[in-house]
Amino acid sequence: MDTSEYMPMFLAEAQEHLQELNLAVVQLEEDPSNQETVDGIFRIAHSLKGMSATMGFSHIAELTHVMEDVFELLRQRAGGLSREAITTVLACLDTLQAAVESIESTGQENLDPAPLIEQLQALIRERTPEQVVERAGGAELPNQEVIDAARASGVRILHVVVKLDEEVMMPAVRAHMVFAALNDHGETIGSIPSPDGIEQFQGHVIEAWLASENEESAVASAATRVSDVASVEVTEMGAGEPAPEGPLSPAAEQPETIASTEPAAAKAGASAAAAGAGHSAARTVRVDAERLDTLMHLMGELVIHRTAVEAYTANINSPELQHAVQNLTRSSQSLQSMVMQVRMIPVDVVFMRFPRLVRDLSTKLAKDVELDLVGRETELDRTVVDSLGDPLVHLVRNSLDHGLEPPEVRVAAGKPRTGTLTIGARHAGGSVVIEVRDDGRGIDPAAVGRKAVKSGLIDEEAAAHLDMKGAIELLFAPGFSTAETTSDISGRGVGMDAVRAKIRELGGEVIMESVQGQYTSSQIRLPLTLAIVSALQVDIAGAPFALPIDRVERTLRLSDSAVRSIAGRRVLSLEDGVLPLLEGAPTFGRRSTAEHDLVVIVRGQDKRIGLTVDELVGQRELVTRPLPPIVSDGQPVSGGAVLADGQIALIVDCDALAATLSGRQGGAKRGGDEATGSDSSGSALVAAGQ
Amino acid sequence: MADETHARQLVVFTLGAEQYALPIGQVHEIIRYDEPRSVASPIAWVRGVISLRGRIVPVYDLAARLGLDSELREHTKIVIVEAGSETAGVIVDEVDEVLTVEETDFEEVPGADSELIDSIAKLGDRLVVLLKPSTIFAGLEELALA
Repeated sequence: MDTSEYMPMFLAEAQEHLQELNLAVVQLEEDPSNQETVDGIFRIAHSLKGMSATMGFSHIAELTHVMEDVFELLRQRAGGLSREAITTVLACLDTLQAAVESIESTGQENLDPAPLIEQLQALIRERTPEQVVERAGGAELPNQEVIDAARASGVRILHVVVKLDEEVMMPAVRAHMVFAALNDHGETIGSIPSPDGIEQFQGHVIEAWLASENEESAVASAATRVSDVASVEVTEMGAGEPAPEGPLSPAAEQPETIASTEPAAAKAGASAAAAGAGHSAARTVRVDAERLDTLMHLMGELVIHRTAVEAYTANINSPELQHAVQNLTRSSQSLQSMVMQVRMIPVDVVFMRFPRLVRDLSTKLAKDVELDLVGRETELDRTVVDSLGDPLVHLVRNSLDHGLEPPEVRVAAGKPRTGTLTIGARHAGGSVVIEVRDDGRGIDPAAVGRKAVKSGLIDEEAAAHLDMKGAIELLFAPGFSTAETTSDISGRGVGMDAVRAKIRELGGEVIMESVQGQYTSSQIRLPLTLAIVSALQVDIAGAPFALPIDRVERTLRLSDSAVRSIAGRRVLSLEDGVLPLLEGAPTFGRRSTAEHDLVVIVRGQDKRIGLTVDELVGQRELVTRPLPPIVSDGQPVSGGAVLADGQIALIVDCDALAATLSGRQGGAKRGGDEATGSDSSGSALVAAGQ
Repeated sequence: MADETHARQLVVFTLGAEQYALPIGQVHEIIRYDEPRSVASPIAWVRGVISLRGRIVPVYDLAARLGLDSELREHTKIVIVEAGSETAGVIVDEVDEVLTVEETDFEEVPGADSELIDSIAKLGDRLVVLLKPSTIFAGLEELALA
């Protein structure tokens, strides 16, 4: 069968399954008694096995099969798995992950399951002494000749697995009674325990091979009538099935035995759950992300055309036409909001990786950490969610590595032994705030200062006067890393500056807060979606511009405010501070056409800036479009948007706007050949990122 | 005839008193001229952007790019050109016709120093300058980086 067409789906689903497994295994470690998690693990491992077998990836199938056995064991046992066992299982997941990645890049799974299977099996052997005891009493397995002879005479071979109650007092007696009952329905050609060893039998599972002419159900009910029997499973051995292999060739066979002794009820439960999963799979459809983007773009066009139709028909006196246009408007608005919804996915997609990451890192660092995930269902635009992973991982690593203290230190400082790491997401107006917070040692300005001096970022003098705010600013400086000793956890040369760059690229901001000895909190504020921006439309020198509404603080009249001059630059003196005043027209390379009296206060980077404009047009929902790099280079704009009347508004990049202030005096001579390098690269980045 | 396979179809347009042409394969469409939304580009011949069915496309003043005096001409059309993955509009005075020109009618440009000009087609007493769309865009990127 040619499976190549299913490959993308396989890869996507395998990734998802692995991620869910990672999460579930870590959850199980926290709460070993949670039967639902165990069932979940079993189900996911099972479908992963099935999928990879279908696609012909036999090594993955083999490994997941053995893993499934381990999980199966878990379902029967109270007390869960040991930490080593979990570590082994997680190692398996890593190997599977690597195999899936290898399939993605080379088409080959490149996986040698043998060592891990060995480990897994050793795990079962170690952890289940009672399973070995079960075997006491030896085994007498049917040999092939007997089976063949029985088959030749038209008799079927039934494999009977009888499970006794856990509390059974005299298993040997029950085993004897089971065999007696079975012998009434056929000839026992093999059994565990062996007929000679029944007296030593101390286990709970009895197996027998029966040459019988009776129906399975008759055999089963005969065995069930024996006291203390919990369950009976009778299956016919297929014609091609060889005689069971030798007894106590222990590990390899035991999991098989465990699996087959599982009560039928549990099997039914698993298949019902599988059916449930199948049902939900049928209700969701996997869609290529690119198609969603195209859909969004087409939607944007439709909105523009609709607005044009509305404008043209407004003056035509035809009730029918008006009515039709109204209907068109209504349905296209619903369509628009639906398309927007389709693009939104819960932030949990990113959060899912953290329980595993935190577990691994805290183990490695010998720190006690409790991870708290808040607001996992908060929805964000898909493109934003996709790019959020790396920055968040970096923040989490930082918290674990630098923020949270080792248990002894915490206790000595009078804090609870276990540190808390909270990753939370919440909506705040038109944006989403994602916070990574730890109750660790906080930021130490003195330590940051020493480090910055060493890196040559500041001098001794400045370091001595460094406060928390300054220290945080230094953390974001390129080339800064706070790790006292470079570990393999953070301090890889990518610092907070990379995090900030990435988030700014997404149109967001990163803010850090800390109280020394108490906590550190990093907040990422992101727009809900990159596709539509809510903006204040303004006119600057006769051309439309759009200021993202989440950056607009307020508007005021120049005539009502005090304008002062500091070192030749105009500033606005307001009650709550003095801020730089930028002339709109020259900032965007235009010739001033009107006397402007309006100022919009915007936030960019961590500054507040006053920008003069000619006119405030109003708030608009704009479908953003990338600008050709050649026209956006050297300008503090991040994109364009087509307005209802077909005009193009340029979307102002407030961060780049703030950068023009620090980059060059006055910022009045932008455009021409004087565009500053840093600004142009900044805005180009944003344009390319959309 | 063997020569037929070398015939090229060109979109011919006017800039001032001269005639220019672009290979038809790279002309996406021709639209009515509307004043582009001006942008403060450091490059003089970048005239601004227009919205082409929701897409934002840059518009270049081809005459200025070629070093012609463009101030007094009457723009009537924008030719949307595709080169590689890029799309841009160029302003022209008028689009005249689509011509099929035999390969043998093309001649090298005398003193060919222009990276924008591919060759010249001599049709009777008319001279049609065939432009290279690829360099119109490539040259631009270099400029943008400079």
